[in-house]
Amino acid sequence: MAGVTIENLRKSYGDIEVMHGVDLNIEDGEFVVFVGPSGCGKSTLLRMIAGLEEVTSGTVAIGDQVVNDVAPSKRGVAMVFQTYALYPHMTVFKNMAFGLMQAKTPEDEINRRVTQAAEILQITDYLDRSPRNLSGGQRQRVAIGRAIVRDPEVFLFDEPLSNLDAALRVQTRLEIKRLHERLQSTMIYVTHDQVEAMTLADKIVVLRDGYIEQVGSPIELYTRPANQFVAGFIGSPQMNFFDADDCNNANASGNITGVRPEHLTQVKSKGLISGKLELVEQMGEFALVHLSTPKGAMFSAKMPLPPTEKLGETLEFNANSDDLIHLFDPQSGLRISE
Amino acid sequence: MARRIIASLLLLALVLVWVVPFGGLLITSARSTKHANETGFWTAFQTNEIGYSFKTKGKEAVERIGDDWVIKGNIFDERNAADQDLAAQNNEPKTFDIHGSVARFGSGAANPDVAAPGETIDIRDGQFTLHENGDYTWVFETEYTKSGKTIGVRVAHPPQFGLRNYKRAFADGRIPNALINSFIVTIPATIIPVMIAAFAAYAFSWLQFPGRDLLLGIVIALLVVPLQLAFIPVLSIYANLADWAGDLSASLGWCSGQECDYPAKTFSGLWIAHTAFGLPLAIFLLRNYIAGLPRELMESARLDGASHLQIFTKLVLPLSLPALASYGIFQFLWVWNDLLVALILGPTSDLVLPIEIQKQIGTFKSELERLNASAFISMIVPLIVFLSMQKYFVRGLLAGSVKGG
Repeated sequence: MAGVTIENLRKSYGDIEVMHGVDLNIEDGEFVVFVGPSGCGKSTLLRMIAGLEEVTSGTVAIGDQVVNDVAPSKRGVAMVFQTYALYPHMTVFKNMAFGLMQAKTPEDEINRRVTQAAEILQITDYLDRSPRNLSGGQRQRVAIGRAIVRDPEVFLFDEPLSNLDAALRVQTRLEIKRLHERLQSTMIYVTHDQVEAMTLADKIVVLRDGYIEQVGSPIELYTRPANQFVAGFIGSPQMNFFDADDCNNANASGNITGVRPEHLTQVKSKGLISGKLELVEQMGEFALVHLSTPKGAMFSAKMPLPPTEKLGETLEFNANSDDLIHLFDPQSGLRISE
Repeated sequence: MARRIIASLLLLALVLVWVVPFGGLLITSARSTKHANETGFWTAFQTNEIGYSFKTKGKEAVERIGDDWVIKGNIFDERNAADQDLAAQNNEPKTFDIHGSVARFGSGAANPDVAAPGETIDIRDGQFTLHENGDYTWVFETEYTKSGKTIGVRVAHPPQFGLRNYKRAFADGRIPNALINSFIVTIPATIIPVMIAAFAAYAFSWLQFPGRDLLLGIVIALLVVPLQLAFIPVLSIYANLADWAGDLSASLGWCSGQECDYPAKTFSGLWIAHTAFGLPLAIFLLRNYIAGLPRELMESARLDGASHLQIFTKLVLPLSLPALASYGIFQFLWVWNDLLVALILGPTSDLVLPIEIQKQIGTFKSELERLNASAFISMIVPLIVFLSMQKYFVRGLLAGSVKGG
């Protein structure tokens, strides 16, 4: 068991720098999720921890040891790939045992560990099958099992659920969470899906263009986003942003006002924001209404019931509480703390 | 719909283009010289009228029956017995027996269409009657004192096939020798380039080293270098090498005089030449396949602690089997059928099959069926190789077009 410490980590491909001096401290046993839009460098960061990408400068340490020049297999990490990366010509058992065989582990030890991992993941029945005879969910479990048998200090997941269908994704997400509860290992998980990030993480790392935008617990990121990018990225539907002259926020003083759709309530009198009704999406549990501000910017609000007004009519909204109104600097995008 | 019909017809035409000559070769190789020379292979399954000239018995067989001197016999039996005797004397395999029924006959080889079976004609003042089953009687009023007479007969001959040509091809030892020589050349000349190319393809796909792209470019550029360009330089290199090795051996006292004249044209020279000529295409094809293997597999293996050599042997080789096999088939066919390289760089005494057959064309010009038997022997080997590995071949050609699997 070990934490991961990253200091001033940079990565360049030729002249193009893609990671710009990242510092990050991951505690032992923590479940950390790297999240961000595609191309933000989250996979590159993970692969540098795994040792699959060379570090241009800076250090990666697992436990107390700097592992910059340590071979991937000697770092005590195990990785689960998006495409499973199972060896197609080997049985499930061999797939899981391959790493241990490479390490010249005694045979009874291999058997014990594979059997144990198979029991945890309930794939004991498939041990003699070849990967092509398994469904996507089963394959992903084998891939996770392959990581478990190596008994790593750090688990690395590279978008492991992206190739699964929606129902299976929710189920496997729960299993990964349960696995973490059980093994209490350090786990680093890369995803672009902010729902996965919110539900799984002890700590979320939001990345953009090779910079860390914010590190914090899911609820911190939700309630106190450090900047406009994080505010927009975390939470679904997305947070609404209003220019200072587009809403009735007395405190705005030239800054951008941000309110989440779920924190807006319709009011009769003149409210924080008024909008012309453009579209109503009925979700059953709630109705998501899309509106346009006087200046024409689009925003949305969650309402318990569909509005009685017709399309084109104007609705007034207030934030549920002043705490739920976020202010961001229009130039830097940084949060202005009140 | 129309497109499908056209496609099917095209396919049928292609199949016919390949199967008809193949069938013709096979059928002809199982027929007798007479049949092969006089009728087409497409008539081999029907009764054909074929003209023969038979020699009757002569004065030694004359019997006195009543007032007449009579010669009796059966043209088929006599001829077949004589042919077998001749074959036995020459240590040749049993000949094709002539059988069937007489359709017409005449008094000389040049005029076989005079009479129908059962009719009697006048030959040398005797009454000659030939029956359908080949029995003849030749009746004279005075004693016959000459030898037999050649008569022309049209025989309605039923289909006849046999292995005589194959037995003959094997019996004289040249074809089996050439067959063995061809295997000696082809098997190493297939395995060596495939193995080297597999290593090279892995390196070009998954190893980082300086000048990789330039080297790959050079390899691909070599694809367009014509084979013929290399013959003279390679031959002179081989000759110099043989000279040099001979001199070296002589100076070391390993041999003396004529023993030191090492041959320049050897089997190993052929292996090297075929390997060199085959490698560019092999590397190109295999690199395309191996570069298409998922990157995650290699990375996963690296995380599992496998070295490059282990990744190659435990992962890439088994996964590339279809590509290796399909290229192997290509190389095998090319080397097996090669005449030119073997002629110029191969040993002058131990000939490979194509050269041997080419030489036999001169020797057995008139015995088409015998040449066909030799040709078929040389064809059957690649055919077996192809059919036994076609599963891989098809998969190899489809490689990359279908994900997964």
